[in-house]
Amino acid sequence: MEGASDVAVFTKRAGCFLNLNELEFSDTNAEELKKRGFVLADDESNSVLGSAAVAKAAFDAGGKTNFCSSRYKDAIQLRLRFLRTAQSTAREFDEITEDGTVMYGQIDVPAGFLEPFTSFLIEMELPQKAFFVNPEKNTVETACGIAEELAVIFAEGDMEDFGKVKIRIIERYPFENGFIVGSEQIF
Amino acid sequence: MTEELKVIRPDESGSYSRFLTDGCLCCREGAKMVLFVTGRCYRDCFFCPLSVDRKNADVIFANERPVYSDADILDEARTMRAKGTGITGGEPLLELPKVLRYISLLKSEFGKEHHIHMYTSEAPDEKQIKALANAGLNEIRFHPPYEIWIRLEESPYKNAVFSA
Repeated sequence: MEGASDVAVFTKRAGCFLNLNELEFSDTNAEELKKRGFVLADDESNSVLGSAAVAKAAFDAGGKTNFCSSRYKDAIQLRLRFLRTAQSTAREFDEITEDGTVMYGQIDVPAGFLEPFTSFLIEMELPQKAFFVNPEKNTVETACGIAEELAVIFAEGDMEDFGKVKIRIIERYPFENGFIVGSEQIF
Repeated sequence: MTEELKVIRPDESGSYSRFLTDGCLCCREGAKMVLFVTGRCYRDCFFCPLSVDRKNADVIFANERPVYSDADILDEARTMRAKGTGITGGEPLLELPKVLRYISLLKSEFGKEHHIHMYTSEAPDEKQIKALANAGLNEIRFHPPYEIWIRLEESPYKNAVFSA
């Protein structure tokens, strides 16, 4: 935006830090930005075209300056925070991705079948730590690999005992009720 | 601790810097919690990216977690193993008593080294700045309205910057 270089002259003279945030599109400001002729810089980020160039000119004025890109917020700030969080919240069977999200298998069991299904898992010699039973949602959560094996068993065998079971691989933010990024049904 | 960088370093996100504050360094570790103290604001900037559920709403969030009590803030900080907090909004100065209380809460729970910075688009007076500093605020970042970027020297932000 115009005036960024003037701010840089001011902060340099004052000796204070200047942080330049790249202008970015969001759901709520898109209309106002478009109205003023701003467009996206590329397909991969929410950056506004030209914002980085204005920031570069201000940066070149000298001083204690930082340019914080729109991509930084997702690629570094959020990703590393999720990784820190995942390291303390992930269960034994969760897989932590490089984005800091967690992946696990989820088995949706019809109401009333949760108990027999849990007994079945114990019979299969699955250790207690290897799965989590959620009676509120009627689901069992476990490692992706185990979910995949179960999908094969269900696909091959006569498993009518548990009604219509659904098996999915879930990827979500690394905290309770975190936003689900991906959900792929494998059975 | 504040780092004067010898080289201009671009990173994989296309950001680059000649200087980073302690607040920035903490964020780059993924260790800064974002404490959103209110969605209300005096201004109506056309580029404000806040989502509908936050903009102008009287809500508090610690990262993505809605806050109903102090315990929610502390829980979130522990979950992410926060080494610092960035206070934002909305306009945090609209909730100055609350902000002062949160600063004290975080400092007493996680120690003086828990780094706290705050954003404002206002030009706080010396009394307000003193209160924030006394509570333990480490860093304040001014975001003046873009209309006056070309005349900051004659604006109240000059005084605010020099008081800080």
